Amino acid sequence: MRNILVFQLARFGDLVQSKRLILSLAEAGDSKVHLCLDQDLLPLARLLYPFAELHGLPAHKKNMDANAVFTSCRKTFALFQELDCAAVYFLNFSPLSFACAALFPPEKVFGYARVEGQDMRSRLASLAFNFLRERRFSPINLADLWAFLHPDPIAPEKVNPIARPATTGRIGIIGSGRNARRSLPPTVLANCVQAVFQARGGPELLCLGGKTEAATARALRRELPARCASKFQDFTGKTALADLPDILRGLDLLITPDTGVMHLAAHLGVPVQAFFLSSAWCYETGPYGMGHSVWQAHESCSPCLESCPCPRALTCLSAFSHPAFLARLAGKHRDDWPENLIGAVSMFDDLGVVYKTVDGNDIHSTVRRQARLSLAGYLGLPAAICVPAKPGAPGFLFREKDWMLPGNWENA
Amino acid sequence: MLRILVVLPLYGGSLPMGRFAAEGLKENGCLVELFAAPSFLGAYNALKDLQIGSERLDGLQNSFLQHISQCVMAKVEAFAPDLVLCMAQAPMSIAALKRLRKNKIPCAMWFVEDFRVFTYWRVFAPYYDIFAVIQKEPFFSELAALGLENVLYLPAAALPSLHRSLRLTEEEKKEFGADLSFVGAGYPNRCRAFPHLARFGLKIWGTEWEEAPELAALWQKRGQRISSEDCVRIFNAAQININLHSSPRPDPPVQPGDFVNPRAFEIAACGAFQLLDQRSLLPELFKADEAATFTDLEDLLNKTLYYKSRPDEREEIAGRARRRVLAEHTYAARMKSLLDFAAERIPSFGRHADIAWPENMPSDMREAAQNLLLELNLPQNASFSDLVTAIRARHGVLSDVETALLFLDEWKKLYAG
Repeated sequence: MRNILVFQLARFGDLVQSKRLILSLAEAGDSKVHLCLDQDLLPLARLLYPFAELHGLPAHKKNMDANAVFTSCRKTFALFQELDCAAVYFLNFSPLSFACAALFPPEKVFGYARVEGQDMRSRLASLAFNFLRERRFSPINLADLWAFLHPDPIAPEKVNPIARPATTGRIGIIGSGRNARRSLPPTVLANCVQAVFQARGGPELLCLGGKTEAATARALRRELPARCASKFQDFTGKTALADLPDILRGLDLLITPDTGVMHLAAHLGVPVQAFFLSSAWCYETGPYGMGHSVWQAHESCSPCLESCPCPRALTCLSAFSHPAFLARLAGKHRDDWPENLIGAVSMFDDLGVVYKTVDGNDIHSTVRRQARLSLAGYLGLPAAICVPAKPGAPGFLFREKDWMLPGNWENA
Repeated sequence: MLRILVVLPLYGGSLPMGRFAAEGLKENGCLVELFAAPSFLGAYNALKDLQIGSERLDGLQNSFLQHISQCVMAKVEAFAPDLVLCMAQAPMSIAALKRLRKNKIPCAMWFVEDFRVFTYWRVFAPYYDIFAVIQKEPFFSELAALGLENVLYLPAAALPSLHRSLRLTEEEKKEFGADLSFVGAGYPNRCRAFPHLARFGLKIWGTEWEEAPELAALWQKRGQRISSEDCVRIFNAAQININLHSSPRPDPPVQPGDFVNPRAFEIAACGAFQLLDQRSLLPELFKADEAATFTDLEDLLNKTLYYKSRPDEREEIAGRARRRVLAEHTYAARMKSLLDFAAERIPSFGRHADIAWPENMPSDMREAAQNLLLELNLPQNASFSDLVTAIRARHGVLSDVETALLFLDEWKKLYAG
């Protein structure tokens, strides 16, 4: 049995988005998949990847004793050396990830490696950084990008079940994620919830999240009209991560910004209606699978940089209060759709998940499509099912060095 | 620990000196990294094979220098040195030197060249915070006229771990042995002098002797580069090592000069005997009974004849010279002088912020760290940052302990300030 090790040291959402790659690795019957991740995510990972052997590292443990960090890591790294892995995948561009990569010979490493003391990106990882230069045209979802570290990833439709409502009359709500600017404020969210509530005939509203979202939940309840508030149940801070899947399975719909819970819902086949604004960009991190809806704010500055203060007073928020949008959520049609909002539904092509615009006008779609086709060709997808890219791939997709210079290491 | 980045030149005589200086800095307890400019030499030489217009080539060569300077600056950003030590001809553009100054990173030049021959110092010297030289007046005055205050006399030296007495094998004696040896390049004055030494059994090692066909029979290995290790073998294997300082002018073959070349210290450190042309700065480096010198060609021939038949006298002089070099003229001593000078002249020198060791380290972690310090030749009082930097510089796959320390370093940066 070959041991294959995947390092996913990022957050909740990234762990779920690694699914297509991890399933692809596990599909080869002769391999045992090991997953190294932040130790706080172990309970969730057990649910997501029951077939994998899990190894926790204190990647995001802020208040831990430094000696304990060393001791824990050393023990885990000694074990990894004993595993003598046939392949090791590093998915994160992070100092912690590069530190771990030093433990393995580069010829066994995919993604990010440390070669003779030098941190290096593989070709695919380098491409991802090229896309970041023109995020408007991002041609591939993160889950698919990671999946293509595998030479032959499983089909995208095999990753998550088709999203179907549980028909319980319950809707889940995530008030806010880790980045406040990527979430709708309670006043705006309340209008959206009210519209969905109206369209769905007054379902129960379950507000989910951790302790840090409790204040948002209380504010949201205050903003809701009485008939909604009476159906509102606040579970924030009351649900362990490991219990979350059971709650999600019982939902007809999850309303959420771009969060880890959104990805978990997609993993479980729970229909998602997700709001993307500010730096969140559905073409990069939208929900994976069939049957999800995304609402993407689409300003000239979208997607922005989370770390930079917004010079435009979060103008991208305005679309989520537009009467035509709220009417749409309530199941009604109006002709005055806001210019700065796109409504899209998830589906697949040969590369992976795509978001088909059904409301609004995605002015970047032509370039994005062209970039996607170029990328598909680069990744070696069969020409018969992949329309050849027009001459001249979009300039941002590849840098000149990508065509001419040798890879950084054997697997790069 | 002080962190020093040594920037080597692409090629030339100061290249081995840069490597030796790095060793000397390590002996002074510094954490040293080298910018290996010679690795870029192949690409530079490829430009010259392009067969293009000279103006175009000139532009490309300048772009090449700018690119390498950027590489040096990237290394500076990653290593965060307390001092950048550039050897003569180190590929540092003025823009890069200005940036170092702006970022308050002290930069020293060890100009181990003859200031009368290599005059580019006039342009570059003002951009260095310390300018160390192997000559004194009138160079000092000329540098002062340019506004330089931090000028240090720092003569060449030997590296005892390399330049040492060897017990040669019979095979080595056969390959490197000679009554008279010379190692170096075929400068015009040497080409003029050495035919006169042919009758003493001179063997010549080194490059650029093509212009002296009369010496062809004496020329060993036909211009192959002689490694530092083989130089030491040659010094050890010769009865007399000729050390004639170079000159671009052929006459007179033995010319007056001031600085003492590295070979003088290296031969002496090997405990080998040398005949050395008299230099004005020699007396303060070697006493009269520590160096056998000559003043002109006739003197060279006479002294060769004299010492050839006096092995005991040769041995006594060589022994005294060796003791003097080991006591005073090592790279470790030179680098100590440089570091002391930097500390005296640059108020902020060496005040970098270190990441502290975790408090109350458990015994297994303490033991692992101490073993690593030993393995990496670091002092036991090295900081956590020093150890991590040394681990980062290692090649190959790291151990569980090393990787855990790298992880901890990144974790501390993220979460423990």
